[in-house]
Order: sequence, then C-alpha cells, then structure tokens
Amino acid sequence: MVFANLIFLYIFLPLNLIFYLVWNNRTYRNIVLILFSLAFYTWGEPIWVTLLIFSATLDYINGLIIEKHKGKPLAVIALIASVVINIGILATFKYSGFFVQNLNTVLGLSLPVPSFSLPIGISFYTFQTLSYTIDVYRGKVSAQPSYIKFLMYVSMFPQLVAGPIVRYSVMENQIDTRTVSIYDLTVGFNYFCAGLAKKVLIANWAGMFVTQYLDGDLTMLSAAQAWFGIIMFAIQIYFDFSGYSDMATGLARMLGFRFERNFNYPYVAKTLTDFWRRWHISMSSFFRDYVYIPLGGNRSHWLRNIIITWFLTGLWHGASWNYILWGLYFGFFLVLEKLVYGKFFEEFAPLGHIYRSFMVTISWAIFYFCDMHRLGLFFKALFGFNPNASSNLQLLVVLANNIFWLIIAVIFSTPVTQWMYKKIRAAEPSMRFFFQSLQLGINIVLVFICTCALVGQSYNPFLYFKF
Amino acid sequence: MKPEKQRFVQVVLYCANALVLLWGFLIVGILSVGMEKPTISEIEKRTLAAKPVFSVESFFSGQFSRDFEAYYADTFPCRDALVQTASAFNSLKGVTLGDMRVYETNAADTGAPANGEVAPASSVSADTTAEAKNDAENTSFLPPDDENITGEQIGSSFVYKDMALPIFWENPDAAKRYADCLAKYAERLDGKAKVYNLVIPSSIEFYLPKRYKSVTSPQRKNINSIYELMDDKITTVDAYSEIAAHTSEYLYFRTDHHWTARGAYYAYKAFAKAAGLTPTPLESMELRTLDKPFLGTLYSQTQDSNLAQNPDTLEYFIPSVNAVNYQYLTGSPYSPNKTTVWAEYAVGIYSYSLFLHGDFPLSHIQTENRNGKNILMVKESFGNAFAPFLINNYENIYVVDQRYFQLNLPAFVEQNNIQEVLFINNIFAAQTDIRTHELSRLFT
Repeated sequence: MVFANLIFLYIFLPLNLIFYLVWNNRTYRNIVLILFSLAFYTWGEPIWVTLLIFSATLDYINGLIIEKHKGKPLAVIALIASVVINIGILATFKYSGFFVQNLNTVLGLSLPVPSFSLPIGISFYTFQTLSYTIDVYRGKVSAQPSYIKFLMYVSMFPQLVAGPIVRYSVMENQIDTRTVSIYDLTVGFNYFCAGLAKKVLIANWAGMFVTQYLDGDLTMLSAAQAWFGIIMFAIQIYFDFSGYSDMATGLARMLGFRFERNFNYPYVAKTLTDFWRRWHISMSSFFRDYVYIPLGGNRSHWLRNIIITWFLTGLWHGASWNYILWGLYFGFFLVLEKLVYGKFFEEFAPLGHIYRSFMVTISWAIFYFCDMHRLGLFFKALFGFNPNASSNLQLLVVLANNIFWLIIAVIFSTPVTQWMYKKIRAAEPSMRFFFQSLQLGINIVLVFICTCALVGQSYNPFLYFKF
Repeated sequence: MKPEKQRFVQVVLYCANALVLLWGFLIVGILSVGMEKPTISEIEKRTLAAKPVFSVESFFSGQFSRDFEAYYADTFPCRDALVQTASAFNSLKGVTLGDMRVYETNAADTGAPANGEVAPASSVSADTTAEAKNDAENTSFLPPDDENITGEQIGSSFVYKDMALPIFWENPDAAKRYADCLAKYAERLDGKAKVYNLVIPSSIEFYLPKRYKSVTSPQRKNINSIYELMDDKITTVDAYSEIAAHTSEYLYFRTDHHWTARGAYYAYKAFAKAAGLTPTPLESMELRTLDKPFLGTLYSQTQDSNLAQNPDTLEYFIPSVNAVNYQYLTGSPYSPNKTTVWAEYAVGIYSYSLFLHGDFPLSHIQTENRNGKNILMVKESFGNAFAPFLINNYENIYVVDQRYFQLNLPAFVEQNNIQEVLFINNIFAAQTDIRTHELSRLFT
C-alpha cells in the first residue's frame, strides 16, 4: 500500500491510530504496529512479505551471535553472513536480470534472463537490517534481545516502502522510551498533511507533464518543451520523494518515533556537494558511513573511494546503466568541485545557484531515460537540434494555465515560508496561536483537496519501484 | 495573556488539530464503508467499478488489492461532487487565455475500461435483439490488449469552448515509413487485390479558430504529402475534401477522440468515388440514436467542466442490407463468435464501442448481398465507424485491427478471395511508428 491512497487515509490510518493509542502499553503497541505493518506490506506484496520476515529474523539472530561472540571468529562469520545474505537478496531480486543481460551482451551468450518482480521497499529494508548488524559488530549499538521489538523496527510501515533509511542507532532508545503526546499527534499530522499535499497536488500534477513531454516522440520536442519537461521531472521527483519522507516522518511521530530529516531544501544548494548534503540524506549518509569511510574515506585512495561509492549509489537507484552513469556523473563533478571550483561557487552564490540548477537538471535527464538512445534524442532536443520541433504556442498556453501552481511549486521547494514564519514569530510571539489555529484549517483544506484529487485522479504513480 | 492561560490555549489548539483530523479520517472512513455504494456516475455517464470477488489466486497475484483500490476510489462517498471540486481546483492553477485551455493527457488515462465499463448487461437497451443480449453477457468487451489502446491518442488536447481537440503535429519521417510499409503490401498483393489508402483528418483541422492555427500542423498539406509518398499501385482516397465540405454537420465527437458515423459516412463517400462504387445516400439508411448521451475519452482525460455540460450523442445508420458479424477474439483466430454489427447497449466513456463492439483482431461482416465482392480493411479504432457503410456494397467485409491481428495478412487476403484491401488510418496513426510497426508485423 502507499500513503497517498484513499484506503490508507480513511481506513488503515484511523484504525491503526485508534488501536495503537487506545492502550498505553509498549508491548501491546509493538504488536499492534507489527500487525498493521505486515498488513500494510502484504496488501501490496502478498508473496514477498515472507522475504521481509526472513531478512528480519536472520539479522535478529546474527545480531545476537555477533554480540555474544564479540571479538571471536563467530562474530565475524555472522557479520559476513548478514552482509552476504542481504546483498545477495538485493542482487538476486534487483540485479540478476541486469547482470545476466550484460553478461550475454559482452560474452555473446544467450543465458535465460531471470526476471523477478522487485519486492517493494527491498532496497530500504535490506539496508536497514544491514546497518544494524554492522553497528552491532562495531559496538555502536547493542543487539536487540527482543524479536518482537526488532521485527517492529524492520517492518515499521512509515519507512517501509520508500524510506527514509532509518538506522537502528536512531531507533535503539526510542523503542523502549517512546510516548505519544497530543503534541506529537499534532506535529505528526502537520507533517503528514504537508507531505500528502506535496505528493498529490504537486508531484502527481508535475508527473502528468513529465509523461506528456518526455514519453512521447522526442524528435518533435522543441528546446523549450524539453526544458519544461525535465524541470517538471525535477519538481516531480523532489516533491514526490520529500513528500513521502514528510508523510513517513509524520506517521512515525504519531506513533511516538522521531526520524531524522531526510530532505533539507536541496534545490537551494549552491554546489553539488551542498546538494548532496540536502538530498535524501539518509541514503547519502548511509553510503558515506558504510561504503566511503570503510574504504578509507579521505585518508587513502580517496579518488577510488569516491568512484566506487558513486558507482554503487547510482546502481542502488536501479538496475540499469543510466543510473550508474548518473551516479558517476555526480562523482566526477564532486571531485572537480573539491579540487577546482567548489570554493568559487560557494562564494559567488548567484553563479553557484545557476551552476547547481543546471547540473542537477541535466542529471535528472540521465536519471529519467533508461534507454541511452532516447537519452541522446532528448539531449538533442534540449539543446535545440530538432528540425521537426513543434510550436511553442502550446507550451505558452500550458504555462499560463498552470502559472499559479508553478509559482507555488517553486516557493515550496525553498525554505521561504519557514523563514517568514520564524521572522513573524520572533517579531510577534503571540502570533503563534494564530498560526496554530491556521494550521488546523490548512490541514483540513489540504486533506480535502487531496481527497478530491485522489478520487478523480487515475494517475498516481509510485516512483520507487526501481529502488 | 498570563502564562497559564497561554499554556491552556496552546493545549486546546493542539487537541483540536489532532482530534479533528483523527476523527475526521475515522468518520469519513466509516461512511465510506457503511454508506450505500453508488453503481453509476451521473456526470461521467458510466458504470462505476464493481466490488472485486476475493479469491486466493487474485489475492496473491496482487490483482485483488488493485481492483479493490479502484473499487474503493470509484465508489467513494460523494464521488461525483468531489471530482467536480477537483476540476474546479484545477482551473485555479493558472489563467485562461481567451476561451481555450490545453490539457496534457497521458497514456495511463486513456487506458481500457477498468471493469467492463463498455457493456454491463444491466444496461442493455430495449431494442437489442436477444442474440446480442446473450453476447453482451458472454463475451468480455475488454479490448484485447490494454496497452496498445492507449497508443491511439497520447498527446495534448486543446479545449475550445465545449469541444476537445487533440493536437496534431506532423512527423514526416514516420509518414515516410508508413508509406514504405504500405508499398510492401502493394508489391506483394499486386495482381491479387487492389490496394487503397485513406488517411482520416482529425477534428482540430476543422474546428480550431484561425488565430490558434500555429498550435497544430495543417492537415491537408500533410495528407497530400503522405499520398505523394505512396506507391503508384496504391489508390489514395481523398476523404479530406468530402469531410471539409460538411463541417457544419456533427462529424467529430466533442468529448471523445473518435469521429462520428456521419463523419465516417463522408469518408465512405470519398472511398466509393475512388473505388468506382455508387455510395448509398445517407437518407436511405435508418438513423438510430443511442438513448444515453456520453462523455468520452477526452472528457475523461481533461475533466473539463465545459465538456461535461455538453455530452455527445451517438448516431448510427443501418443499411437496408442485413448483415451479421463474426468476431474473432485474441488467441482464437479460427473460431468466431456470431454477433451483431452494432453493440446497441454501449454506454459510458467507451460508447464508441457501439461500432463493431470495439476493437477485435478480426471482425468478419457477412452481408446478404450476393455480388461476390469481398473487401478487407486494415484499421485502428477509427475504422470501426466506417466499416458498416460498406455493407451497402460488399458481400464480405473483413475488418482487421492492425494492433491485434495474429495472422499473415497477404496470405489471409489470398485465402479468402479478397479483391480489395483498404488501409484506413487516422492522421495520428499514419505517422506514429508504433502503428506502422504493427502494420509491418502483419506482413510476416
């Protein structure tokens, strides 16, 4: 199931909250949360829910073994088993088809290409359990003795299908100390409603333009249409993904958990380095802490480490060469920033914004087109080399028809509203009551409009089926 | 305010926010389950998705979850009002220039009916024969292949007043490939069957005000240039001129991407001229109108309220010659279902399925004419409204859908003693590589 869905909003969510909140007992709440989470996952993935339970059970046991035999060979074996099995699951379900296809191409073989349907959220939960066993091994966290609590951590529905990648170290204490106050519920709903609106009212709408301009005949796109299409994709992926993270954070808060921030207005960054400090933070920090630093980080072979890290980051996003290219593209320019011009753009902010916007927009084209031939056609269109390009009058009408929506999308991809809110509150502290009552009104209006849109909207894509 | 009072106000506000939302979700949820479920949508003039039947297989394949979500969304309390509110909000997204709007449409929306929206048995109209009724219950009217249907009309629509006009943009390279493909057929069928090509102009050519002309490519020039590319063995049919001479009539639907039977009639007239037939006058055929107005695919994509206020009606013309229709479903190219030419119970967004019951790999219309004349049409859905007029002049009419037909076309022509082959395509299909690819697939 996904969050931006009427059944989730009106049946799953209220039932879950009522069953969860009705009795303030942690064991009871843990079990309620597990049952609802498994139901949530089974609804969309009725067979591979077994894989989720398998992965959780295995790493629960591995965690215990590692802790019990600390410093002994058995701990190392359990750690290796955990890494091999988690990566193995991921490799089998996500990359085996891609791997065999490439093997066939390179060696001229015709091996049967395995085609698994990718279980939802597999890239997220395998990483979470992996981070757990590694952290237990490193002594950063202690092993969770309770199977129920561990299963709850792995299966917890807010982060299950599209992240954020919540590390066990963040959750360790919360599992046993969490409480839910009316304040948590309110803050949770605020996050949730904002995330829902980002997904349904901005991302889905932008997605319509994306399919329109990027899935059609690319030889007929004018340069303006190509830029419009790819900027719409930039809007779609940001609002979709960060909206999802907001909803996850909000839901977790309603259940008493606090997640760390996953997006921090990436589109105001001045450099790509800055961009990656703000985009999908839980993923990039995972690669930093579990790949880049163990490889030697900045201290030894940093160039090699960067290439490996970004190769894997790209590959994690999908089993296709364009994602690898996308990862390496960032790796390459991050190195350039580090060695050559990073400082310059940090200092000359307007130039930095232009540079960053351009580079990230181009990267989304690489990310979007899995077919290299179509990517080539798209770049041709983007830089104005299409002789058959169609008229821009249509695009002008589209822009006029959606101008307010566009302005809203741009405003909300920056922290302007947050900044204004803080300014006003600082100047006039009593305004906060006004804002709090306003917040309720805003939430109700947002939920209402999203419901209308979801009822009438058949287009509601789930972008992370490749992750 | 005193600190205690401030704190009190604060707590009240938090409680209000959390509790209003929680109870709001819960109450609407209870209503959504408890209230009586509507079965039809008044504004969309269609039957809503039905509750899926639970089975272990459908659950484990994920089909049950998907169907249930569609059912739940489709029968949500006050659905029609919410959909209308959503479209009102959509119009707030920007400003309208003059009286036109452009809608981006996408493949997902053009999709096939989710749950047999075309022909629910309950809505069979009174004048349907018992035979057709049985067919309505027995056969599935889902088009054979959902994905390909969408290829018919992906693109933007220009809404002018109460009419949605899909925007046409020419693609000379693809048109060349279309002509090359037909040339192969002309070569192969040379001496066996006469080959015709008819490219159907689309509504935007005739109904878009002059001042907006630059939004679309001119179609007369485009069709002429396609015809110039055609092999000499192919007879081209100038349907454009006939249609252009009658634009004051109801030739294209306002809310659907197809043409009306009346529009198809003028193409038939042009074809008769090219093929040396005497066209049967429109007045000499029996005019029928489906009793239910409908909102078609373009309304479904745009949800434009102006379109909703002015639904389309379906006229059709019954020739005096009787005919039966043998339809061949996907996967059974040799054993047909006997049925009628018109599906007179068609309702809802896919009402255009009135003609030939929709798209099938092959429909064989056998008429009471005994003149030995046999024709084969290769078409996408536009051809469906055209085919019935051929009943006037032919003994056998084979209607092949280029997207679904599974046999070798030239061999089929020879085996069935077909003397004429008509490739009839709308102007979009004539320069869309996917359609041309399907055409060339039938060659082998």
